[in-house]
Amino acid sequence: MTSDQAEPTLPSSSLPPIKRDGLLALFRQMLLIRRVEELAARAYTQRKILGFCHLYIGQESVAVGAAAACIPEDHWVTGYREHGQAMAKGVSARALMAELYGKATGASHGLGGSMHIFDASVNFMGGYGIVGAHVPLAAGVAWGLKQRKTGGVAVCFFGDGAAHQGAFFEALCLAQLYSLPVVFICENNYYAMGTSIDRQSYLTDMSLRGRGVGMVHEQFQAFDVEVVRDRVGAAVEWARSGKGPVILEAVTYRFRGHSMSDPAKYRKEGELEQKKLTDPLLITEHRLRDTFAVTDAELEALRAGVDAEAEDAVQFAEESPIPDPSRLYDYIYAPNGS
Amino acid sequence: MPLIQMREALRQAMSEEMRRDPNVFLMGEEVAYYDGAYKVSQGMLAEFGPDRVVDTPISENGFAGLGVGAAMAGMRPIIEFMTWNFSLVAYDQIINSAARIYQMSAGTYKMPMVFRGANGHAENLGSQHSTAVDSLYAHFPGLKVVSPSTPYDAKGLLKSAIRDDNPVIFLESELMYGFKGEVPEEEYLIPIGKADIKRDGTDLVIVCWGKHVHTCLRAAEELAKQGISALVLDLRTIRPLDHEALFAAVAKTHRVVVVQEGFPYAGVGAEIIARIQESCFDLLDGPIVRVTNRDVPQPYATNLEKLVIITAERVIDAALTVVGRK
Amino acid sequence: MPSFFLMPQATPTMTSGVLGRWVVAEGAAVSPQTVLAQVETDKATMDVEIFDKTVILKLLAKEGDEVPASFPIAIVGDAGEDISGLLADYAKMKAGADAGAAPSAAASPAAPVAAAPVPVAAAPVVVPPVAATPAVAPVVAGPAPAPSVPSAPAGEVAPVQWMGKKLDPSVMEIRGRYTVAGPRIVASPLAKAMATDQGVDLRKVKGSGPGGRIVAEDVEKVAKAPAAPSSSRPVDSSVRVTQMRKTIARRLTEVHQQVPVFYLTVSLDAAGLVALKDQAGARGSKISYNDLVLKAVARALRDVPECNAAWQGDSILRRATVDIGVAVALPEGLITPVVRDADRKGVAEIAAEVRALAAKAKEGKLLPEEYTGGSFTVSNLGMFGIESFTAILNPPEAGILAVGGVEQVPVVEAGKLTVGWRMKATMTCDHRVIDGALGARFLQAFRAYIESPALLVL
Repeated sequence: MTSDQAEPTLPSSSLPPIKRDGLLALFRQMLLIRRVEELAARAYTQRKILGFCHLYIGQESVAVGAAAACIPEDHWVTGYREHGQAMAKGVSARALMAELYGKATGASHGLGGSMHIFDASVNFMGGYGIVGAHVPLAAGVAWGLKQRKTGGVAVCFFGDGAAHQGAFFEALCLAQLYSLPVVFICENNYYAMGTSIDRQSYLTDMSLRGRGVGMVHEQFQAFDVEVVRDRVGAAVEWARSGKGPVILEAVTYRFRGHSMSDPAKYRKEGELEQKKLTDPLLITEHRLRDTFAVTDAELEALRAGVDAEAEDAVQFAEESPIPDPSRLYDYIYAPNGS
Repeated sequence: MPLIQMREALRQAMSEEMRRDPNVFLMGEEVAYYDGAYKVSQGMLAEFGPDRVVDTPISENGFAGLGVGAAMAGMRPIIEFMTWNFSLVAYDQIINSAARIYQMSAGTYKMPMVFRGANGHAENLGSQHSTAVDSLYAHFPGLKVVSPSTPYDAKGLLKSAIRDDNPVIFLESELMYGFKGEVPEEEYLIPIGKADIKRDGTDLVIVCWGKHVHTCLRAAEELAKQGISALVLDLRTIRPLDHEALFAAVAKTHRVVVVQEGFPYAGVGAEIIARIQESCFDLLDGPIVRVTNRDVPQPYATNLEKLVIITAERVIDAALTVVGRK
Repeated sequence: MPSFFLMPQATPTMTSGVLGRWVVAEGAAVSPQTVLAQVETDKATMDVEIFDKTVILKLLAKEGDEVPASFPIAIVGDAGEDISGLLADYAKMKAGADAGAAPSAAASPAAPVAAAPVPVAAAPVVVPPVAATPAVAPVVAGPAPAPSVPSAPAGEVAPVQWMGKKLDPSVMEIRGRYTVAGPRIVASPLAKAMATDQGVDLRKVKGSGPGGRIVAEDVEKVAKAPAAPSSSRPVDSSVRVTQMRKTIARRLTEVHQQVPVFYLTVSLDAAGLVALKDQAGARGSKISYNDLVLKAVARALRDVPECNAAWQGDSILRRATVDIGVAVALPEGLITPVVRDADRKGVAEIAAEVRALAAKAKEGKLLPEEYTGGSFTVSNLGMFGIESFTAILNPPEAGILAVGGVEQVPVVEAGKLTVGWRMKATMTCDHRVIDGALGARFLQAFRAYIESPALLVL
């Protein structure tokens, strides 16, 4: 493209408006992700979950809204704060919790841990711990999906902190050059570890990174799961139709520290309290009550079901066996022809 | 049997595998319209089209990572680095992604891909274009590292590498692309992980791979004139190591010289020696001697460059030392 | 059912935390992610959160207390529940902890609170009362309680075994010996060296190392074993040679085999030498016969410079200076430090220099330039009562003088038998450089200086 060409913009998605049951399901999914992570935090303080544990609490609307916009053939690649995306894409609470516990029944058999959840059965292609380095992988996944004519789109989640890495820029260049079916979703949660967005970048809208490579780009407020569904829906439709990649910035907020051992003292006074007013769970709960007349009793029952499912995941993880030491060398090299 | 150049053997391997499997594709800088910086992929664009012989921008980190993702999505990419020196900006993708995804996903995602290109010094290219990366990649479980020395081996090994379900680091040499050798017309494969005795001998074994197999064969020729019979063992694969062939050669000769391009410190040569002493301590008649590049970045000037690289004279000197003639 | 709320393990490395401030009061109803308190950990001040919906029934820890991780800090449950049982348990635990004598939780055989089985479906952070719970940890900083990692099935710590496994080319990590059949004696290099030193026949030693390798200890045992009763005769032993000894052996063999030599012996009147030494001694000057001999050799070489030379194959090297080597015996061999320009130095100066060089030689501190590059060597065994001997050349020098002792002997002087002082000296000559007549000329000059030592000081 040349500089005199107008930048294309992303139209509305063609997804039908969401109905009562649909929104209840999205609410339940967000609630389940939050409850599972609360129990993960509890287990972490008991030294049952070890190492790094980065929670997604506050950002659930992004993963759940994106999942609502995708089809099963779409493949997801994410960063290290990926418990939410994993569950939204279909990884069970049990498999996630067991992985955090380092158990043989975990999504990655205890070999991956919090940052490396994989599940091929739902096309969840992993969380990655080198910030920004997974973005080219998503371009490659899109290459494969395109060449093999699967109809699938690659969706890549990353944080605002990843949008400064060379790998990220190179991936944007390649994806646009080859017109790959990939949607890049920058979840701008305001902090790259402890560095706020305005201290790490002159531009604070990371979707503008797409402008330099001629990529369709859009920033949107992502606290409302319905908005996320619509904008990601528009993006995957664009990519699926063969028009090339899209970069979105989903403006969100991380309610907790970078990891379990970060008290997040670097926030401005009152910032967290202010942001909690736009908690995706609150917004959707209001919508359910106001638009769809969901009752307290219905919500209580839903919460009870979520609590039970989350506690069940903990119990499953507790009772699961640890990995068999004799299988330490099992997955270093794939046996050929398998 | 036709006598062909190394570059033609590599091209035959890629073309045959691309005809065989539509998921195989070649990607890299100047591989398509330019016909390859070293003309390895000459003519392939015409046969396979731009979706399968793909020019990239100068973006090694990006296209190496793209290859990893494509492999996860069912493709079998061949990622060409114009030279392995440039792979260092893609090191993270090869190590943290390609080598580890199969394990950290508990076998969920295999990584059937090849990274290939010219390795080590050529002539007067200076420090940044002369790196031998053997030891940098052989360090990591999850990678296979192959370094052929003849057109015959190159073709058979590259075909195996492309069919392998693991990431294979395939080390070629600018100095060898023009080497000629006999390559049969009928299809054949050479298994990864098997060494080859390039010259038999009884007094010592010279362990080597890649272009220095030829250096060592010249040295062995000279040693023969002095009545010393050297076995030249071409490892062909650096990882996984063919322990059986290596140890059998040690058991036969009891004296060992290891020739490794690149720097000595923490190199593959040191690793091979460590393994020999762990497993063959009682089969040795004396200390093992290493021949490597001198421990300095490659200088440009011809006279200095010649001091740094491995020569037949240095291999002969090492051989005389281990057989007690020095 | 009411239960304990424990000090959280807020960071991976914290062992205890100081309860800074309670944020909630007793009786407060709380929900997940409610902050209960602030705690100082090893890393920072952290919020202590609860992840369950419950009521704070009792705050146990006081602000300012240092509490080990996983020790109770509060009691939670439903409003109005009876907590007397838990309070009694807590009192016991606290008493035990304050006494400080409690074993660390990790070492305690009884189940410590932190590791107590936790019914998971209930609230895991909240531990139900354990009857007669033993005290587990001091309230002050102490050993970390055992991490409450879920119990492992048997065999958890079983190491991965590779010993003896077939080599798998797909796995890089290998252990174990590669063996081949054959008649080789399997012994470590150290054991082989020791066997040579101590005269042990390795064929008769049974190896105790891996794969039957003979190791140092095996050789030692054999060497120390009392000799068999049948053979009471002492056994020969081999002694390993030093590098110096090896060098001496090689060079002497070379010169002895390759250089054509002949010997010239003279008997010299040493009366003047004796008188001079006595006079010097009387004046407190310590000089030896050898110092005088050195000086005499040096002067004779100046007089007969053809002997101050070396064979070079196509040419003969004529030395410009007179540098005399002095053979010095050392425990492991001998060395010949060189006195430079000996012909131009006084006897006292030579004496001092020889003493300094000999001392350095015995300490092994001679520099290479101090023992190489001599032009002629003197070897003196007179002090050991040797009358005369022949010496082997010190290459590339063309001559060496072997000097015997100064002795009183019966002599015939002017036809009469009398007592005189005599000293014998034998010169070894490299015939390629020195012919018989030339050697004789040198010894004539030497004789003049020895028999009239006053010439030495002229």
